[in-house]
Amino acid sequence: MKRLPLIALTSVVLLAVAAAGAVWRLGDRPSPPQSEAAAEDSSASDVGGPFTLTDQNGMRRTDKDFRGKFMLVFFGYTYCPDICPTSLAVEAEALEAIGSRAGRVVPIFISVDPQRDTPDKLKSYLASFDPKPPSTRPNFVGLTGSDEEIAQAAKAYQVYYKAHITGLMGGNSEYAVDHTGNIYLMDPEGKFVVYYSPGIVPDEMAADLMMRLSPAD
Amino acid sequence: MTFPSRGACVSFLATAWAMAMFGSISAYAAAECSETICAEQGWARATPGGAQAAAIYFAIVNQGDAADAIVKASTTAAASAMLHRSTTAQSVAQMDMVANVPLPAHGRVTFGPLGYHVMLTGLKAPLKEGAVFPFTLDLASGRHVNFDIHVLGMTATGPGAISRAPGR
Repeated sequence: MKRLPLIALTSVVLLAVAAAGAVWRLGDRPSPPQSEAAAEDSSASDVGGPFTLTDQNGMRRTDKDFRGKFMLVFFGYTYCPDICPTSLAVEAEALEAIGSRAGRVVPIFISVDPQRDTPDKLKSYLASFDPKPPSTRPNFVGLTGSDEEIAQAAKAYQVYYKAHITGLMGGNSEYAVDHTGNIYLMDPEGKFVVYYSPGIVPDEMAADLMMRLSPAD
Repeated sequence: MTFPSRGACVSFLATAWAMAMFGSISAYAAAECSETICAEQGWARATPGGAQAAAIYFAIVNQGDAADAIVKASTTAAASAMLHRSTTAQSVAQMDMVANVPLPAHGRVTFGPLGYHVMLTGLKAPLKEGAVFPFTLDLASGRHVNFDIHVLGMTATGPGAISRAPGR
């Protein structure tokens, strides 16, 4: 068998290992079963609609307040230890990555657990995901409300949610809320653009956002 | 079985050297595991303000010939630690408590976002970025696995930052 020069062989090996490492690190997650990163389809085109909710400062907000900006809408709850912080972290990282274009986006967190998620709760929770200077990405808007108001918002976004008991602690039953985990991108007219499935990584979301957002004025 | 040629030996050494150079790859290999079962890359995000629950992630390697299972988790950092598994079938995010997590022989199980995690409730104090705290897994075989959990930033999406944060 022909022997390759040693340097060439080592270089090929190093490049292969580097490439494998770069691909691995891109996702920055140990084991990915990856769902579709972004999807738009006709059945989802009805996503979106009016809502009237209360933000983390106690102010009443409607969907119309956000016209003129893109909305990134995610339904979650603060008691959620895994999927919700993960999704907010991914959003934060993606918005960081798109630089000045992030100024055209409002990231919105709508609670599917209005019983526990009061405006104050949302305020301290979301403040932790907000940018620290010199970052200029936008702050999160947290929305909660009455059971009926939340149900109406969820229905508009075709979001399923349901509480289930996870255990007992100190005599009180603890519950988790199963919920649709997509992140919805809505355009400045409030129309559905695309949704990002759970499991999307920041680089994927950032790439898609760059495509959807025209350069900042 | 033929004896490896010198070229093969050198390329193997080159690969090993390259892997050692790329910390993030070697960090995933159980290089330091002298026990049959080792846990490593333990991480959690700093808890958002007011959060009551936190998720703990790590990798666990079973180098033995016998299957085992995690049956319990505990830490002095929280009153309660439960084994959980998140699922995202049809885009619905759901998490359920599980009684145990199987550890196949010669296998590696990763606890990570949107998958297995240990859910802590009753945190003694919010988890702060840079902190390190001890964690214990009890196994079906009766073994106990002790290791550290590194608290990373709020927007961490994987354990990679552990190797980038020396001395924290």
